[in-house]
Amino acid sequence: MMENEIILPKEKLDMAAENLTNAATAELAATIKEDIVLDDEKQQAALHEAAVDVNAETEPIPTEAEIKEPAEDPADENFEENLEENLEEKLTAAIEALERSLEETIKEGIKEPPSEAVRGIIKDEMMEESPENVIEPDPRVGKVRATPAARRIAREFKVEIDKATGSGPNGRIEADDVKKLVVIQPGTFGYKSKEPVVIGTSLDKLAGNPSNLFSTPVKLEEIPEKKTVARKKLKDMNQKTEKMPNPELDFVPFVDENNENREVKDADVVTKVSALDFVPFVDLKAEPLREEIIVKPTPMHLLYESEPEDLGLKSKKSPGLPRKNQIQDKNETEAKETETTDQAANEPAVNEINEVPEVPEVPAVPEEIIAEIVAEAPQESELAGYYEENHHEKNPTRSVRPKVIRKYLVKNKVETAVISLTTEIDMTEIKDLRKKITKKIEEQARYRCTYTDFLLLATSRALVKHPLINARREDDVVVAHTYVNIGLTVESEHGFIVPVILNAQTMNFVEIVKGRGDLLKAVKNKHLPQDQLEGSTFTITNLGMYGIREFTAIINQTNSAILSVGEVVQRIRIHQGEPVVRSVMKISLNLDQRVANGVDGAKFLQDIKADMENPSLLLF
Amino acid sequence: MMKTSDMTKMTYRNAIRLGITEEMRLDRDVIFLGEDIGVYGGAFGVSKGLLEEFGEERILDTPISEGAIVGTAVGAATTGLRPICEMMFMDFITLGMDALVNQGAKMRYMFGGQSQVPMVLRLPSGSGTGAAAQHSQSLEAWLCHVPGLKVVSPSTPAQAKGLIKAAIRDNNPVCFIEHKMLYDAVGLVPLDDDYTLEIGKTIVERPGQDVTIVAYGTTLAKAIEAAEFLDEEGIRVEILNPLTLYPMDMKPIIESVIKTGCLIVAHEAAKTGGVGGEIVARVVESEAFDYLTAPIIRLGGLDVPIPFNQELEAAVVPQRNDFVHGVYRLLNRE
Repeated sequence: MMENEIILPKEKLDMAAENLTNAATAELAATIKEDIVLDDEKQQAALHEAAVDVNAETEPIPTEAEIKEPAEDPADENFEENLEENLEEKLTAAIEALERSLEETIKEGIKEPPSEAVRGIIKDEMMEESPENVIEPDPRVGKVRATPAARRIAREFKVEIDKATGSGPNGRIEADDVKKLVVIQPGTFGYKSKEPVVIGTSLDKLAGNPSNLFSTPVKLEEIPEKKTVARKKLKDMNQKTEKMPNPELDFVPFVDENNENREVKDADVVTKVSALDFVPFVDLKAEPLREEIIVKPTPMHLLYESEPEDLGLKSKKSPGLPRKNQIQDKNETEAKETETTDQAANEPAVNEINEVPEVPEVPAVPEEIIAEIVAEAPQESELAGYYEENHHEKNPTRSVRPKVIRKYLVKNKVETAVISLTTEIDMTEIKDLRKKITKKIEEQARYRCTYTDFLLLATSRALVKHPLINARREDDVVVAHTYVNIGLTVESEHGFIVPVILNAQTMNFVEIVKGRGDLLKAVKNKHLPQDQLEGSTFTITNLGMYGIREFTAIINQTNSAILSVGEVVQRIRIHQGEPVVRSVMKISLNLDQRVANGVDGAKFLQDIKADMENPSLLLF
Repeated sequence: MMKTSDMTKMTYRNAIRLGITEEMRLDRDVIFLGEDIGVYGGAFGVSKGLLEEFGEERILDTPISEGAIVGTAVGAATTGLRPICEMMFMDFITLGMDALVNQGAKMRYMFGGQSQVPMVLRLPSGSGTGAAAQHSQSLEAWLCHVPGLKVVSPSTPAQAKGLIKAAIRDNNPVCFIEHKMLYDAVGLVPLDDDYTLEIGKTIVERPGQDVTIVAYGTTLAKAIEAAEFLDEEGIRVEILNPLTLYPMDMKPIIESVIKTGCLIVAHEAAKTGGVGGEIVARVVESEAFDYLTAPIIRLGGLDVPIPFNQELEAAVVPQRNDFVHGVYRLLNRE
């Protein structure tokens, strides 16, 4: 439902954009504009505003640049084209504004709070309402709770600290949480030496670290213990002996010794590394092992691996271009060659437009792709705008809904290739067990346990076993989380939100019951802490209480999968050779196929199923 | 390093006496004055035997007037003597405060260095003896607030000897804060009569890398106990002893905090307005701020008068378990 509401204007936009590129010109666009505008006077005002906004913007939206490029027009068509562009801009802006106002109306209702001037003359009984409307802004809202050390690491490695999930007391983000975010892309990081840089050493001095007034230079060899641990890890990795995911893998220094062509950059490129156990260097190209462990082949990866020599040659030929661009270049040609789906063809093209506009020869891109781009690119910029807006958000009552939905809408379409898997779970055993233990659990946890709690426990256990399902994807790297933060979609008065149960992997059943109970209570009382509002690594959504038997949901952004839970119903099933009435429930997993494949998902579901059908297994 | 053969085991009390005796033998200008220090040998027995060796001219039993003692000492110091004066309890420094703060601490500055005040004030501080609210205070923060005074606080016999000698040789008024509960502490003390400890040097009592604890006086001993306990759990606590509370040497503390990211500051004096707050402020002002991984913890006496009841007395000041819980809290183990 909520998807449809929001997608609707977007579809219009798609249509409009298609028409535009088909050179149906101004009249058509104008009619569409009229259609929309005639609806409402208010909307027209919004259109004006939006148009002004667009004009005020200094940088052109990438889309227009793209439209210009493929069509090398004669001069006399320029006017028309400009007109076309302007219209399109206005149209886009208008639809954005409409969307926004629509959402606000849905969220806040039509009535507006009385202005200050009016309030003075309102009668007493009306005044009683006003304290509710004036909500004291909570100074904590929008702020990140983090230790100074965590902030420093975020600063030094240019990580956005608010993306970290706090593991400290009250969700405080600690240094380790930020370290988890640090992933260095290949080609953006150079080493002068094979040794990591340690503060106080000569390398650090080279790096021009002005602080550390008190540090005395220490030779690397003299640093005990931690150093050897790091070395050992390095060795282990190179021997390719490890099979299990190593939770600290992100931070093991990896030096590509085989690559002779590595450009030795000056020391100022070397990022400061504050502690030896934390050297975030990941070189995808030199790391088949990494792929085994936490990086699954994605279309981009396949490209890297297929022709590494070719890449090397390229970098020799065109040293001016950063490596990233070359890879994209490569990507693009590859995309041309292979017969790809809409999705795959789309992705490199979008990258091309947004990031490397100056690369000259763009091959003739099929028209429908351009149409897609026209439809999507403005939304990306809109997202950025929204993000910023949200960043400065001070009002705690503001709904989280637009954010979540937009993330779904925009990002998902561009970036995921989803498969769904469904299985049926026999809940009879759990049902019996729950009857037996519910009283005892209630004594301990102060909440009544539900089927969801069993599912949460089984899921968190399965996620530990299947780190890929519990991973996030960052452009071309898949990073498995070492912790399990399960998001639960919950209906609040502002629509659906996804509060998070943090570190579910460490919880026992009672703690899960308590955690979930507290979470729902916090949502109900609107006391949900900021850190539990976001940062899930996996999501569970349940519509069983509405009698929904089976459904699939959109993957929450940054997650790689979502589990949809249906209703528990009585059905006749063959049990031990006899047809008997059993309680069964269907669960569906939606999985981003570029993070993990169907078999991974199936095994994951299998583990959950096994645990749920034999709840005694949950003990072990 | 001092050879063990040059050292002998003695109590904190005897180490102070040894330091004073050595200095009095070396320098005829050193005199010692206080209440009952002569025939009786001092309230805590520190000056036993001094009267016999140095005579009534240099070991002066004074009337019960702290104002007179400090005033006399400041005056004597300006004439070139090097007086050591003993308050029977640190609490009574309040009576000598005018002479000390308004005269002794300012004189060298106001006369452009033409006059100096080489005096030592011995101040037995702290609780634990059941001596109740008027005889158990730790007022070092008052003294640290007065520029011109130096404040030292040794925790072991060796430190006591080194610092009392350094204090006597220093040309400024030095407040030498002893802790009553430490008088019977035994430790190796160097016998070398030139052994002094530099004033304004923080030392590392125990190296570690997980949590930094800064403590002095008896709390230091409790911190070390806690560190030994935590050691069994694999938590390595680094303990620093500032020795000189003013002017404090912050460099080792800041370095240590950079290393560990966690800091506990502890003292027996009341937490509010205590020296610990100053240490924390300086750490936060420094580069070490960026290396903090948890909020700093201050352990201090509760903001109440020291109770007479010994159980309550122990409850008021930080104990070993407070350190252990503090460390757990810093490391998220609780």
